[in-house]
Parts: sequence; C-alpha cells; structure tokens
Amino acid sequence: MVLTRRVAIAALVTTTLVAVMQAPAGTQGATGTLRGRFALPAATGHDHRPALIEPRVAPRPRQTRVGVVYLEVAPSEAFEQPVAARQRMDQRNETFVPHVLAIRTGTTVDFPNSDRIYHNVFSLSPTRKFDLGRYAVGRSKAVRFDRPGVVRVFCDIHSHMSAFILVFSHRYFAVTQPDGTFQLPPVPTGTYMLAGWYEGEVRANRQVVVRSGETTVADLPVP
Amino acid sequence: MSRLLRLAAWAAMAAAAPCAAQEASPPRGNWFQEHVRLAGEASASMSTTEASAEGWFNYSDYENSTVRSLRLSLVGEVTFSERVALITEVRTLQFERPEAYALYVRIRPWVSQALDIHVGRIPPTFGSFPRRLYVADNPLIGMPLAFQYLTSNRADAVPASADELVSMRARGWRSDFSIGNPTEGPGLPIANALRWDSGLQVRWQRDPVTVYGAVTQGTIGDPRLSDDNGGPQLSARVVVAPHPIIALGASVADGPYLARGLAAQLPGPGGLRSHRQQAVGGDVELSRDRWLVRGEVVWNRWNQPAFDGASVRDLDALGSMLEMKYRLWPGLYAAGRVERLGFSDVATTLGPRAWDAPVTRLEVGGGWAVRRQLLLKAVWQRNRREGGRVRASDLGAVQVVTWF
Repeated sequence: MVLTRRVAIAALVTTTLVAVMQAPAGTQGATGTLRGRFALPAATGHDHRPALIEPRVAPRPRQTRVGVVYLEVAPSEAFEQPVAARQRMDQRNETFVPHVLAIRTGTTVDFPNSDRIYHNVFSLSPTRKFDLGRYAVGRSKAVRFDRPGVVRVFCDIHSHMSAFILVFSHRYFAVTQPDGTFQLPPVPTGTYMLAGWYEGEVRANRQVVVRSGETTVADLPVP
Repeated sequence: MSRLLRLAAWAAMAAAAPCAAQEASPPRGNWFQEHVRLAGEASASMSTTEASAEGWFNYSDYENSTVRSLRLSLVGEVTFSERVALITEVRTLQFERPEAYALYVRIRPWVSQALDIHVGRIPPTFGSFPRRLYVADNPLIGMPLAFQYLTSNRADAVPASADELVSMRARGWRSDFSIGNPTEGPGLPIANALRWDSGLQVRWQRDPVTVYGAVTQGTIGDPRLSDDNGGPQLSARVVVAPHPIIALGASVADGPYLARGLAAQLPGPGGLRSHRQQAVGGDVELSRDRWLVRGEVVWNRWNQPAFDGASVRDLDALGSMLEMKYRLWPGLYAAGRVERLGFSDVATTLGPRAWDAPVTRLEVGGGWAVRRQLLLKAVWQRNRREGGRVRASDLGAVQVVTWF
C-alpha cells in the first residue's frame, strides 16, 4: 500500500514535471507556430590559412552551412527548469561536426575525437573559455555551457578547424535546414523580434506577431 | 502599394533562393572565392638589447636580429584543379623590398594518391623546425641555433689556414677571410630556416609514413634562387607517426656549397663539387594532453678547402635542442627551449681548437592569445659562448603576432 502510494506520487511528480517542461513559456496553451525561411548568405571564403608546406592529404567534405534563427527577447517562466541535456560535436576528417550547434544553458557538449590524429579543442570566447588538451581517437571530453552567448570553437593543432556553439537561455531557437527553412518550438502568443544568425553575425531580424493556434510565416531576407 | 510589396517580396524570395542553394553546390562564376586562399601575418619583436650589444647571438643572414624584427607576409594558394596549385609567400622584413620566400607549383599526378611534386622555390626538406613556417608555430621568439646562428664559415670566402679560421670564432655575423670575396659578410648557419631553396621536391604519404626527397640549387645552409656551383643538393626526409602521441623524423642532405667565384683558387683536383655540405638530422615530437615536447639533433659537415696541408678540412658541427610547451589556461601557455651548438676541433699552430665558438642557449617564456588571431609572447633568453668578444648575453624580448 505504501509502495503503491509512493508510485502514485512519483508518477504525479513526473507527469507534472514533464508537463511543465513541455509547456510553452508564458501563457500556457496560447501558442502559435513560427516558421519561415532564412535566406542564408553566400558562403564566404575559406576561413583557414593556405597549406603552405603540407598539402591536405584528402579533401575534407564540404560542410553544409546553416544558420540559427531565434527570438531575441523570449518569454521565460518564473521557475525555468534547467536543462541537463547532452549534445555532441564530433571531430571527423579534421572537421567539427556539426559546424553549428545551438543549445540551451546547462547543456553539456561532448567532443569525441573520431579522427586518427590528435586534436586539441579550445575556445577563447568570453562566454565559455576552455582548453581540452590533446587527445586521441576514441576519447572524448565534455564541456558544460552555463552562460548564454556565442562560443567559437577551434583546434589548436589544425587551424582550419572551427565551429560555433550558440548557447541560449530559452528554448525558442532553431538551426535552419541547408535551404534556410526553419520552425521554432511552439511560441507563446505575442510580438517578438526574430533574428537570423549566420557564421558569427546576426544577418537579419524582423518583428513577428504570433497568434494563438495560428502559423506565422516569417522569412528573413538579408538586408 | 500592396502590389509593390508583393513584387518586392517575390524579388526577395527570388534573390534568396539561389543564395540558399549555394551551399549545396558551389556558386558558379565565383572562381576567385573557390580557388584562391589568402592569408596574411604580421609580427613585431623587440628585445631589451641591441644586436651589437648582445653579441649577435640572434643575428640572421638577413642582417637583422630575429628577436628585433618586423615581418609582414602574405601567403596565397591558387588551386587551378585537383592536380595543380600555385603556392606563394611574399614577405618583407623591416619594410624592405618584398621578396617571394616561397613560390612553387604543386602537382598531384594521381588524385587518389598522396604523391605531390613541388617545383620552384620549395618548402624545406631537411629538419623539423624549418617547416614551422608561421610565426605563431614557434612558441618562443628566438629560433633554434642550428637553424639561425651564423657560423664563421662562408660559401664565398675561405681562410688560408686553420689559424685564420679560428681567428674568426664567434664572428659569424661578419666573417672575413683572405681567399675569395674580400668583403666582410655573414657566415652560414647550419640550416637556414629563413630562406627557401629552389628545385624539385617529391612528397609521398601513406600513413603512418611520409617521405620527402628533393633536388635543389643551394644547400641547407645556403638556399639559393639560382645555382652557383654547378652541383645540385640532394636531400631527403622520412617522418613516421606510429601513434598520434609521437612523430619521429630523420633527414639527410648532401650538396656542394662553395660559390663559383672560388673555383680558380681551390686546392686539389676535386673542384667545387668536392667541397660539400653534408648533414644528418633526427627529430621527435611528443604530445599529449597539455604537453608538447620536441627534440631535434643536427650533425653537419662542411668540407672546407685547406691550403696548409691536406686539400680539405672537415668542419663539423652538432646542434641539439629540446623544446617544451605547456598550455596553462585557454590561450595561455608556457614554453622553454634549451640547446647547444658545438664545433669540432681543427689543428692550429697552438694545438687543436674548436673551429668556431660553441654556444649554449636557454630561452623560457610564454604566450597569451588575446584573441584567436592575436598572440603576445614574452621570453627571457640566456646565451653563453666559449669565445669571442661577447661571451654572455641575457636579454628579454616581446613579440606580437597577428594574422588573418
């Protein structure tokens, strides 16, 4: 009997927690869909120095560039649940995969080395400075990101390796598809400023109005 | 008005569509963006002591101190196809006339094979340190003695006797001999890391082995844009990396080093080609976690003409160094290098003496990456020499490096 009561309480607590975490911020239930297309700028030039002495042995796969679309000012709950998620940024063929990772504060990112050579992942960004040292294939090190902001990630050994981690204090963001299309998680009704980020810069923003139960299409052209 | 907005929206969408698609397939027509890569690097170094006061320990054959210099360089790579690329580095020191330090064509005959042929002013084959081209690749400011320190031996002037040779000990920054070019000038370093040779290099890689072979105009101590003695230098290098933690390298080089202007004055029947620079080197790199340790040893021999007995005098030198780097904090590291350059004895009227004054150097310091592309370094350097007017020199130096 005691066991049954405990199970019931545990189930209730779990259900409540899940409901709170799943519910949109602000006015629960009054949400709308926000989707659109971020016209990704043309790819800029190579972001690494020429191979003056050692040629690249194998051409690295051309990574698809994507953007990140997010609400600049987002509604937040009085008691926002901290996330304890884990994400992964791999190192393959002397490339960070994915090139852009968008996460929430509190997320821990694993940096496994899937190459046959050493890598040394580090960042000098004020949002999160870290240096994981050199480690070989099969090993992984992790970093937890507790502050919102942009973190530029590099490899100390291979100057051509770079990536971005965007850390948000809310959940209203999305990494675009390669063609620029995006859809944010259900957004509470209201008026917001939508921003489009690409390769280190906010390239576009616009005001959007989200109405309850409606789908708002908000394209982000480059100014 | 709404029609105008619709038209604008349509135009925006129409303009956006090809932009978004550019990532999947490279944009057509933008040949420069797809095929040209440019990078620039600027570094400025300043030491507490002038080159003359510090005993020319850090002097280079460009006649300036490596710890007191301003260097600007522009590096370019033009990829014409999967098989052919042009690589160049144009550099100026102290704002003097820019010079193409590197200018070569890279040919990959078989795209699937890591076999490259380099023709032109090519990357160095011998040794490990000269391959650290960018300033930021050197954790300290000074360069290893074996790749920078000027010995008294010259390619265009030779001493008439062993006594004259040893009288120039520690005078490599401005050496002067009675046979050949009468003008005072810098002597030769064992291997010149500041100048690239001209010729042909073949590089082949198959993990964990990389092999290099080259035929060049000059020698490792005197890389040349054009030939000056009718004899090529052959050099080779093998690097084995059995595990990511370690890389082992071995290098050899052999070529005539004397200048054509000395040909008529040489003793013996061998001529210019019998007076060679021969070198053997070994290097190791260990890295793990926050540590990076490098060691390099170079043994070198110059067959100098002798006029007081045998027709050839062997001038041997041995350079060795151990370098360590430890990353203390993101962007902050400490580093140190200890090294020695020793010389063999020659028979003089006063007995056997080292043909040049042995040098030891300790350099410790660190670097701080203020930003990803802005590095500040500070070092303290201790030099000791067993001969010459200035036998000891302690100096501090700072350097700022930036690149794009």
